[in-house]
Amino acid sequence: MEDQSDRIANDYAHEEFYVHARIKKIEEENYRVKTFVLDAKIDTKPAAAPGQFIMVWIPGIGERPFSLLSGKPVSISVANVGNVSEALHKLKQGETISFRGPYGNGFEFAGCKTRDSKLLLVAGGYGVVPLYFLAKEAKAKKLKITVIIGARNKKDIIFEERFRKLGADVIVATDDGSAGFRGNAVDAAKKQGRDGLKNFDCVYSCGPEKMMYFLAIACRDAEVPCQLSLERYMKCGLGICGSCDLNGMIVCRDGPVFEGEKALSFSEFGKTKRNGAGKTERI
Amino acid sequence: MPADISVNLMGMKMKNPVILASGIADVTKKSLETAVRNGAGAVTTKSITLEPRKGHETPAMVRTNSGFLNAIGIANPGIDEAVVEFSGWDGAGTKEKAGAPLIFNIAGKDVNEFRAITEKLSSSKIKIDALELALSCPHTPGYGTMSGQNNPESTAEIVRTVRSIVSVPIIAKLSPNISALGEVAKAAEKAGASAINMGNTLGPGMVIDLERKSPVLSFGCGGLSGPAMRPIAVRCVYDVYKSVKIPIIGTGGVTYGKDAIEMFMAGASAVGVGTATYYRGPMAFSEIAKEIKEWMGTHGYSKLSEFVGVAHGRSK
Repeated sequence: MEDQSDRIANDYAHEEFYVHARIKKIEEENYRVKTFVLDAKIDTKPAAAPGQFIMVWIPGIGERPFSLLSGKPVSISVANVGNVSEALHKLKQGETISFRGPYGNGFEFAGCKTRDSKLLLVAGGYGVVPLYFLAKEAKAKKLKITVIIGARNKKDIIFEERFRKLGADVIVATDDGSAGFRGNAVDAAKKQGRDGLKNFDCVYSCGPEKMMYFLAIACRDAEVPCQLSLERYMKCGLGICGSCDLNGMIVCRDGPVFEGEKALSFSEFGKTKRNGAGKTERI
Repeated sequence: MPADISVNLMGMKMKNPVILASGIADVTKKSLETAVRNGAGAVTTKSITLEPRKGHETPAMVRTNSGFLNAIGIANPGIDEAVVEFSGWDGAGTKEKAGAPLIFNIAGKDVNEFRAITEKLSSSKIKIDALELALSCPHTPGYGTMSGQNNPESTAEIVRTVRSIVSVPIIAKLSPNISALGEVAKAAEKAGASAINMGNTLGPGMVIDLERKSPVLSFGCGGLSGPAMRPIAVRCVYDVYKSVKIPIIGTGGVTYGKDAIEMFMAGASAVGVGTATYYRGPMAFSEIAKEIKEWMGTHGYSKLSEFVGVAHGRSK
């Protein structure tokens, strides 16, 4: 006979929506980015993947999605650009962060699993976050990693040292030439080695959508598969409310990582996005 | 002969009785096309208001054991943008799959706003198959039950006003949170409604985070959807069926085909489905439709109408 107490535990257990974790460590990445390492692990099976995100809740202020920097321990890097990130930046070591997730589909190594596989990671600004998580996993698989970090200015380049410590080839590109290659990350990618993008087996990217749009086209021309982490205005993170709509796809559930070809099939990709009211805005 | 699950609802021809309910991934035309591709028999837009609304701050949604609370706050781009967004609806059918009619859902603060939205709608080029009036949102100040649109007088006034402007079928979407449900439904019918959608989310309810000692939703409370509210939705449909002759769309907790069958037995002619897309994925519409058909097959029914309202016995 079924144990009655088990039934109650399974059917009626009080569901906690959030995980509450102490901040173990805070690292300043630059003038407006901080990394928060939490006293929590994501033990889902399969494990949290690079490109997946968590929803972080600051009671009384709001809830926002943040890309995972790591699942074990749970870590995020936060640019101080809005009210929730501002509140996060005020938190001190030992204080609590509440989150739920991970959600969404992350990057995959499909087609790039062997030791000879050459990966190119193209990051724009804070797009380094999921790509660093990816690079760590790629290193564990002994894959060869080249990373391009693009930003407007030298002071916006973050994670350069982190990637170097992993043994990745790192190329920095700035719009104003204040560090590394003068120009955007996509142009830097095209100028890699003798054959540009053709040198690589898989390309991964996260950053401003215009950048990823041109990268996806360049990858199509070079016949190299690419995966992109896209972003839209998210509210529920659960695939229900539909506010993160992108051409009828729900980014929080169907993405945020899409294959380049798939992304290019979206008429809105690289061109328009929706605001919190669902109104179309140009990118 | 295989069971026929097609429905003619207020003259609206549907390949199956499973309707995408308002508020679930329906702010864009392409998201409605996705629902049709995933098997919806008809699709409903997000509630559209006179002005654009960003809605409530997040968290706007929280999960419980058997349902969700939401306080989205009627986020929508407003009627001017919406008539452009949803114009040119052609059913989104393909060679292999039939398309689906479009139900346009609107929400106004009062009768004047409902009039203004409907006038904008009727003077635009948009072609819709039915107009649904959200008289029942439980979590947005100034709208639905928070502005008293849940009594017979207000319901009749709004329905009558909208009826005088448009000729398309009108669906009155009611709240399950009121006791004189039959009276409200009757008032809607008498004022010219073509169908009742029974109904909106339940509550509002509240979830408190134990560690934060605070309600999770930024608005504090929100409407309950999902399996937890199904028995109440079924009872509401049952009550409304006793009061009106116009068809009823049963909405609330329908997650599996048998949930829909239960709604039909209570008196619904079609079902609204929303939260089920979380539990069963985006294909919930076609799955539920398939399960309805299978159940009818094993129980010897060839048409849905054969068992609509059977739970009431032979006399209505």
